[in-house]
Amino acid sequence: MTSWVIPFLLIAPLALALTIMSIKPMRRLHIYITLLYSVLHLAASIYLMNFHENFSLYFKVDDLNPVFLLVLSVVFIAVSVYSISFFAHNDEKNHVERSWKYHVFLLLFVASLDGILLSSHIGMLWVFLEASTLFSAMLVYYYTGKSALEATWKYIFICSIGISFAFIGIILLSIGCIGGSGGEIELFWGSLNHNAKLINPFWLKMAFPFLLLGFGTKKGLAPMQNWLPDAYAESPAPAAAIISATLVNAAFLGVLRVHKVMLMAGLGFYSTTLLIIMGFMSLLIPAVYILQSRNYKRMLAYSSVEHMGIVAIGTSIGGAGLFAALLHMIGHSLVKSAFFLNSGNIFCLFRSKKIKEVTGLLKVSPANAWLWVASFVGICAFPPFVTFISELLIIKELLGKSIILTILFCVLLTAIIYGIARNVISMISGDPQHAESRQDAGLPATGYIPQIVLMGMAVWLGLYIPSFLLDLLNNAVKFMGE
Amino acid sequence: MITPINFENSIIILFAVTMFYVAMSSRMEAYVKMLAAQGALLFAVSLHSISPSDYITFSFIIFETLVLKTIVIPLYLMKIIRQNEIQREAKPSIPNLYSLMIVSAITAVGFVFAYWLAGTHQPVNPLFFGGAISVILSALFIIMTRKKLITHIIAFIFLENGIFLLSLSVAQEMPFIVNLGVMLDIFAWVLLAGIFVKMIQSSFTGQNIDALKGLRD
Repeated sequence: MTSWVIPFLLIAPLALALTIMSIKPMRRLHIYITLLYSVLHLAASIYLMNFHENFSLYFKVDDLNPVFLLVLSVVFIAVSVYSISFFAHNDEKNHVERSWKYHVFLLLFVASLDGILLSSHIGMLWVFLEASTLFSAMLVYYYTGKSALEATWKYIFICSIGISFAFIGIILLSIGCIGGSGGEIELFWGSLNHNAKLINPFWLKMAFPFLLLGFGTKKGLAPMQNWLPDAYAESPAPAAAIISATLVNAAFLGVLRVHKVMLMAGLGFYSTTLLIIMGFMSLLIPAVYILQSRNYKRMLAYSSVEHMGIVAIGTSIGGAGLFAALLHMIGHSLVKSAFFLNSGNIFCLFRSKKIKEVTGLLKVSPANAWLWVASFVGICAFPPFVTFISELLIIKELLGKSIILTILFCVLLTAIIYGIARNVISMISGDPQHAESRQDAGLPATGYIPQIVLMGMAVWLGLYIPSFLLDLLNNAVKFMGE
Repeated sequence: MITPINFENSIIILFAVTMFYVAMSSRMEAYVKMLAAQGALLFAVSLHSISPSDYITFSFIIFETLVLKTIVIPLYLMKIIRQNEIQREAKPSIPNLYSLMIVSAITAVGFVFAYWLAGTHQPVNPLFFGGAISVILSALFIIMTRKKLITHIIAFIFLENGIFLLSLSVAQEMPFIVNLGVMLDIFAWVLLAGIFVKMIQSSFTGQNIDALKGLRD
């Protein structure tokens, strides 16, 4: 069934971005436009979740993408609400006159993510992946200083290489589709899945590493994760929150779609092995770097690499492992976006991103300190957060495959938890040393509510997964196995 | 007499050979001239690969290769190089002689691999495939061993040229792949050159990768 909801998701942000550009001085209106659209986005996601519709041949809602759309909507609303606080507090680095740029590129970024999530053609997905890099780069470059420039340069350069790799993968896949035993196969996901066994396996095997590296770059998987710490650390807190919680998911969807083609082609062992290798590399690198981390936003970025590694490992296991990976993706998005939003408050209080300059948070702002601790508990997958359930499920499934890999998994996770815990404890305890920390930032309620709601949802899912979400996850797992 | 097929083969070999010159040279202007040369060679290959009956794609590709890759991009980069007085790639990670040897080895492996594939009845034109793989891998090697930011941009455009040649190998069967290749070019041009060369220029004097070490743990 053809829908008007999909074109709305793709075109409305463009129209709203143009509107904001035409009313540049009306800063308050920019915030309300973004907020209103985020609510409409959630309504559209819920609609598409219930009525699987398509738009032209190139955009389609299937059993896999609704869960990704829903997560995007929830994080987008949280970020939009937090933006009220972000633009309200008195921060000299917060270029209020540039608020229109932030809102324009945020809207366009969300539209590009919708494009990635809804694309039913590998080429279309790749085009929107390019677009997401373009728009998110402008968010990373928000502060326009030398550090922001350096971070944006690295982000763009590494992602451009990744996107080029993905394109090489698409060309190699198309050679396999031309030279397969079933004549020419179109590059729609449905066609690729349906005719997977007819694709020339040699070219499919050649294409997969390039596609995995390409999408993996955006997902933040090692060894292409280098852009993450710089980009997350230098972008404004709400931008870091939405990039860390949604862009990586969109790229994960790309990985899942290609993995499904491999599974359908009977090359599951090959793709599974590569996913496991990249997954463990993504645990190893943060385990080393998080201990050396001097910047709390970089620490969160390394934690994102870790969680993408966990998701990749869960995906490689399949079945219940894939269910756990999807659940973990949801949990990570909720908690990590809350963590990043909270880092914005801490920056506002201390005017520093250095861990050693943030001390005595508990005395400066107990509310932020407890939110910081709660985010830590959630991201390190302690109960009652949903991340605990998902990691436990992945460990259980991994144990059934290999005891050595399970031990390695647990050791690496322990090292990462130790690294984060050490930094979080040093930040909240002691006396405030940094002179500016004594000034109360006077953050409005919108600087706290999004994090509380996001973490509340993560706890709620840890205690009870509602039936509609369970259905979404089960349908996604079933879709991958069909 | 040079037959059309021989003409195309000669062009692809020349296309791969341009990377030898890049590997052994330290002069920025030489890099940009090779970029223009690759653009012209891709234009010649495109004339043979794309059917003129599909005149929209045909004119699009001709514009992309002849106008953008051969004229506009090299001229713009040359202007930046001269404005900033960046004459040479100072202190590459490995000496140019070794670079030349490694790029030669990469090219040899690329062509041997492509001919091996063709021998196993895979649907590839070995010269197209070998030339493309050689240039892609050589460009990645140049990115890894050179330090100037402008060299990284130029090497990335070499990489794109390699990908463009690879996309031409499936142009008859899947013409939209070539269009996607053009989009990659536009994307990279907008992001890398259009925005950031200007920005880097203003903040990072000399445009050396060593200047980008402010963000670390």
